Amino acid sequence: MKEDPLDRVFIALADGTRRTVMRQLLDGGPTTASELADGLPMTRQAVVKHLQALGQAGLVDAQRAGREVHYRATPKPMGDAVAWMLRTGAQWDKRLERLRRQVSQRTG
Amino acid sequence: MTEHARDAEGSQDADTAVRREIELDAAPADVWEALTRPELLEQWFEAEVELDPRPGGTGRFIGADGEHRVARVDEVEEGRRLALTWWPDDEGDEPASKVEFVLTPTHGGTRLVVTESPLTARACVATTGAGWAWRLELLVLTLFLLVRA
Repeated sequence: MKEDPLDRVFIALADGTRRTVMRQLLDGGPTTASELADGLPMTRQAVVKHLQALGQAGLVDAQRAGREVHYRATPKPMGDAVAWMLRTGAQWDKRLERLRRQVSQRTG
Repeated sequence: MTEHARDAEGSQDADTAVRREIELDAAPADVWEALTRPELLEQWFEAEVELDPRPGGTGRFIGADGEHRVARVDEVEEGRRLALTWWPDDEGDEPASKVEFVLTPTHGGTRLVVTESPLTARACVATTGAGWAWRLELLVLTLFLLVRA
Protein backbone atom coordinates (compact mmCIF):
# COMPACT_ATOMS: atom_id res chain seq x y z
CA MET A 1 0.00 0.00 0.00
CA LYS A 2 1.33 3.42 -0.86
CA GLU A 3 2.13 5.72 2.01
CA ASP A 4 0.33 9.00 1.63
CA PRO A 5 0.90 12.23 3.58
CA LEU A 6 -1.90 11.52 6.01
CA ASP A 7 -0.49 8.06 6.74
CA ARG A 8 2.82 9.65 7.68
CA VAL A 9 1.11 12.02 10.11
CA PHE A 10 -0.72 9.16 11.80
CA ILE A 11 2.52 7.19 12.08
CA ALA A 12 4.51 10.14 13.40
CA LEU A 13 1.96 11.03 16.06
CA ALA A 14 1.31 7.44 17.15
CA ASP A 15 4.49 7.69 19.23
CA GLY A 16 4.18 9.27 22.68
CA THR A 17 7.68 10.76 22.72
CA ARG A 18 7.13 12.45 19.39
CA ARG A 19 3.88 13.92 20.68
CA THR A 20 5.83 15.31 23.63
CA VAL A 21 8.45 16.81 21.32
CA MET A 22 5.72 18.24 19.10
CA ARG A 23 3.99 19.77 22.08
CA GLN A 24 7.21 21.34 23.35
CA LEU A 25 7.83 22.91 19.97
CA LEU A 26 4.29 24.21 19.79
CA ASP A 27 4.49 25.54 23.32
CA GLY A 28 7.98 26.96 23.41
CA GLY A 29 8.49 27.96 19.80
CA PRO A 30 11.49 27.16 17.59
CA THR A 31 14.43 25.65 19.41
CA THR A 32 17.44 23.38 19.02
CA ALA A 33 17.65 19.64 19.62
CA SER A 34 20.00 20.26 22.57
CA GLU A 35 17.55 22.57 24.29
CA LEU A 36 14.74 20.07 23.73
CA ALA A 37 16.88 17.25 25.13
CA ASP A 38 17.55 19.27 28.30
CA GLY A 39 13.87 19.10 29.16
CA LEU A 40 13.37 15.45 28.22
CA PRO A 41 14.70 12.19 29.62
CA MET A 42 16.66 11.32 26.49
CA THR A 43 19.81 12.12 24.60
CA ARG A 44 20.19 14.81 21.99
CA GLN A 45 20.67 12.08 19.38
CA ALA A 46 17.36 10.48 20.29
CA VAL A 47 15.62 13.86 20.06
CA VAL A 48 17.13 14.42 16.61
CA LYS A 49 15.76 11.06 15.42
CA HIS A 50 12.28 11.99 16.59
CA LEU A 51 12.56 15.43 14.99
CA GLN A 52 13.51 13.76 11.71
CA ALA A 53 10.48 11.48 11.90
CA LEU A 54 8.26 14.49 12.55
CA GLY A 55 10.00 16.27 9.69
CA GLN A 56 9.22 13.43 7.29
CA ALA A 57 5.55 13.82 8.16
CA GLY A 58 5.81 17.54 7.43
CA LEU A 59 5.16 18.41 11.08
CA VAL A 60 8.54 20.02 11.78
CA ASP A 61 10.99 21.95 9.66
CA ALA A 62 14.67 22.57 10.32
CA GLN A 63 16.51 25.82 9.67
CA ARG A 64 20.23 26.23 9.98
CA ALA A 65 21.32 29.37 11.87
CA GLY A 66 25.09 29.49 11.92
CA ARG A 67 26.27 26.35 13.70
CA GLU A 68 22.88 25.61 15.14
CA VAL A 69 19.80 23.98 13.67
CA HIS A 70 16.51 25.44 14.81
CA TYR A 71 13.44 23.23 14.69
CA ARG A 72 10.02 24.71 14.23
CA ALA A 73 6.58 23.11 14.44
CA THR A 74 4.63 23.16 11.16
CA PRO A 75 1.37 21.69 12.36
CA LYS A 76 -0.80 21.98 9.27
CA PRO A 77 -0.62 18.24 8.40
CA MET A 78 -1.81 17.47 11.92
CA GLY A 79 -4.87 19.49 11.12
CA ASP A 80 -5.35 17.31 8.05
CA ALA A 81 -5.43 14.21 10.24
CA VAL A 82 -8.00 15.74 12.54
CA ALA A 83 -9.93 16.95 9.51
CA TRP A 84 -10.05 13.34 8.25
CA MET A 85 -11.55 12.22 11.54
CA LEU A 86 -14.09 15.03 11.61
CA ARG A 87 -15.07 14.53 7.96
CA THR A 88 -15.33 10.75 8.31
CA GLY A 89 -17.38 11.11 11.48
CA ALA A 90 -19.74 13.58 9.82
CA GLN A 91 -20.24 11.22 6.88
CA TRP A 92 -21.20 8.37 9.21
CA ASP A 93 -23.57 10.63 11.15
CA LYS A 94 -25.44 11.41 7.93
CA ARG A 95 -25.41 7.84 6.61
CA LEU A 96 -26.59 6.35 9.89
CA GLU A 97 -29.37 8.89 10.23
CA ARG A 98 -30.57 7.88 6.75
CA LEU A 99 -30.20 4.20 7.65
CA ARG A 100 -32.28 4.76 10.77
CA ARG A 101 -35.09 6.28 8.73
CA GLN A 102 -34.76 3.59 6.09
CA VAL A 103 -35.02 0.55 8.38
CA SER A 104 -37.77 2.15 10.48
CA GLN A 105 -39.82 2.53 7.30
CA ARG A 106 -39.19 -1.07 6.37
CA THR A 107 -40.49 -2.43 9.65
CA GLY A 108 -43.06 0.28 10.32
CA MET B 1 -30.26 7.28 23.94
CA THR B 2 -30.79 10.04 21.44
CA GLU B 3 -32.22 9.37 18.02
CA HIS B 4 -29.03 10.51 16.40
CA ALA B 5 -25.93 8.49 15.95
CA ARG B 6 -23.63 9.45 18.76
CA ASP B 7 -19.96 9.26 19.41
CA ALA B 8 -19.55 6.38 21.78
CA GLU B 9 -16.80 7.69 24.01
CA GLY B 10 -15.31 5.62 26.76
CA SER B 11 -15.85 2.30 25.08
CA GLN B 12 -13.39 -0.46 25.93
CA ASP B 13 -12.36 -1.16 22.36
CA ALA B 14 -12.21 2.41 21.13
CA ASP B 15 -8.80 2.07 19.51
CA THR B 16 -9.94 3.30 16.15
CA ALA B 17 -10.23 6.68 14.56
CA VAL B 18 -13.97 7.12 14.20
CA ARG B 19 -16.68 5.20 16.03
CA ARG B 20 -20.41 5.61 15.92
CA GLU B 21 -23.17 3.72 17.67
CA ILE B 22 -26.86 3.83 16.86
CA GLU B 23 -29.97 2.09 18.16
CA LEU B 24 -32.21 0.98 15.31
CA ASP B 25 -35.87 0.18 15.53
CA ALA B 26 -35.51 -2.89 13.29
CA ALA B 27 -34.58 -6.55 13.68
CA PRO B 28 -30.91 -7.52 13.16
CA ALA B 29 -31.89 -9.47 10.02
CA ASP B 30 -33.37 -6.31 8.46
CA VAL B 31 -30.34 -4.23 9.41
CA TRP B 32 -28.08 -6.92 7.99
CA GLU B 33 -29.93 -6.73 4.69
CA ALA B 34 -29.52 -2.96 4.64
CA LEU B 35 -25.77 -3.45 5.13
CA THR B 36 -25.25 -6.15 2.55
CA ARG B 37 -27.74 -5.70 -0.29
CA PRO B 38 -26.43 -3.15 -2.78
CA GLU B 39 -29.86 -1.77 -3.67
CA LEU B 40 -30.50 -1.08 0.03
CA LEU B 41 -27.00 0.26 0.66
CA GLU B 42 -27.52 2.70 -2.18
CA GLN B 43 -30.38 4.37 -0.35
CA TRP B 44 -28.62 5.25 2.88
CA PHE B 45 -25.18 5.77 1.35
CA GLU B 46 -26.72 8.01 -1.31
CA ALA B 47 -24.28 6.37 -3.69
CA GLU B 48 -24.11 3.89 -6.50
CA VAL B 49 -23.12 0.66 -4.78
CA GLU B 50 -21.81 -2.66 -5.98
CA LEU B 51 -20.95 -5.19 -3.29
CA ASP B 52 -20.34 -8.90 -3.15
CA PRO B 53 -20.82 -9.45 0.59
CA ARG B 54 -18.62 -12.51 0.94
CA PRO B 55 -15.08 -12.71 2.33
CA GLY B 56 -12.78 -11.58 -0.46
CA GLY B 57 -15.71 -10.08 -2.37
CA THR B 58 -15.21 -6.70 -3.96
CA GLY B 59 -17.28 -3.56 -3.98
CA ARG B 60 -17.55 -0.07 -5.35
CA PHE B 61 -19.13 3.06 -3.89
CA ILE B 62 -19.68 6.03 -6.17
CA GLY B 63 -21.12 8.97 -4.29
CA ALA B 64 -23.36 11.64 -5.75
CA ASP B 65 -20.49 14.06 -5.04
CA GLY B 66 -18.24 12.01 -7.33
CA GLU B 67 -16.33 10.37 -4.50
CA HIS B 68 -15.31 6.95 -5.74
CA ARG B 69 -14.19 4.18 -3.43
CA VAL B 70 -13.18 0.61 -4.08
CA ALA B 71 -13.79 -1.95 -1.36
CA ARG B 72 -12.79 -5.45 -0.39
CA VAL B 73 -14.82 -7.52 2.06
CA ASP B 74 -12.56 -8.86 4.82
CA GLU B 75 -14.86 -10.65 7.25
CA VAL B 76 -18.48 -11.71 7.30
CA GLU B 77 -20.38 -13.16 10.24
CA GLU B 78 -23.90 -13.47 8.92
CA GLY B 79 -26.23 -11.14 10.77
CA ARG B 80 -23.57 -10.01 13.25
CA ARG B 81 -20.47 -8.52 11.78
CA LEU B 82 -19.19 -7.17 8.47
CA ALA B 83 -15.69 -5.81 7.96
CA LEU B 84 -14.34 -4.31 4.78
CA THR B 85 -11.39 -2.28 3.62
CA TRP B 86 -11.97 0.60 1.26
CA TRP B 87 -9.80 3.14 -0.43
CA PRO B 88 -10.21 5.96 -2.94
CA ASP B 89 -10.05 4.97 -6.58
CA ASP B 90 -7.99 8.05 -7.45
CA GLU B 91 -4.61 9.22 -6.14
CA GLY B 92 -6.06 11.46 -3.46
CA ASP B 93 -4.74 12.03 0.04
CA GLU B 94 -7.39 9.91 1.74
CA PRO B 95 -5.89 6.87 3.42
CA ALA B 96 -7.25 3.37 2.95
CA SER B 97 -9.38 2.52 5.91
CA LYS B 98 -11.07 -0.41 7.53
CA VAL B 99 -14.80 -0.19 8.13
CA GLU B 100 -16.45 -2.55 10.56
CA PHE B 101 -20.15 -2.99 11.32
CA VAL B 102 -21.17 -4.89 14.45
CA LEU B 103 -24.82 -5.71 15.10
CA THR B 104 -26.19 -6.61 18.51
CA PRO B 105 -29.82 -7.54 19.14
CA THR B 106 -31.51 -5.27 21.68
CA HIS B 107 -34.90 -5.34 23.34
CA GLY B 108 -36.59 -3.34 20.64
CA GLY B 109 -34.31 -3.81 17.68
CA THR B 110 -30.61 -3.62 16.90
CA ARG B 111 -27.60 -1.75 18.15
CA LEU B 112 -25.24 -0.99 15.28
CA VAL B 113 -21.65 0.04 15.94
CA VAL B 114 -19.62 1.38 13.02
CA THR B 115 -15.90 1.98 13.23
CA GLU B 116 -13.71 3.41 10.52
CA SER B 117 -9.98 3.48 11.08
CA PRO B 118 -7.16 4.54 8.78
CA LEU B 119 -5.10 1.43 8.24
CA THR B 120 -1.69 2.77 9.15
CA ALA B 121 -2.97 4.41 12.29
CA ARG B 122 -4.63 1.16 13.27
CA ALA B 123 -1.36 -0.71 12.84
CA CYS B 124 0.52 1.83 14.93
CA VAL B 125 -2.11 1.91 17.59
CA ALA B 126 -2.02 -1.87 17.87
CA THR B 127 1.68 -1.78 18.65
CA THR B 128 1.69 1.21 20.99
CA GLY B 129 -1.61 0.50 22.71
CA ALA B 130 -2.13 4.25 22.85
CA GLY B 131 -5.11 4.61 20.56
CA TRP B 132 -7.70 6.46 22.51
CA ALA B 133 -5.28 8.65 24.44
CA TRP B 134 -3.54 9.49 21.20
CA ARG B 135 -6.74 10.68 19.57
CA LEU B 136 -7.59 12.85 22.52
CA GLU B 137 -4.13 14.35 22.53
CA LEU B 138 -4.36 15.04 18.83
CA LEU B 139 -7.59 16.90 19.33
CA VAL B 140 -6.23 18.78 22.33
CA LEU B 141 -3.20 19.84 20.31
CA THR B 142 -5.39 21.04 17.49
CA LEU B 143 -7.71 22.98 19.74
CA PHE B 144 -4.68 24.49 21.42
CA LEU B 145 -3.43 25.64 18.03
CA LEU B 146 -6.78 27.14 17.13
CA VAL B 147 -6.80 29.07 20.38
CA ARG B 148 -3.31 30.39 19.75
CA ALA B 149 -4.00 31.42 16.17
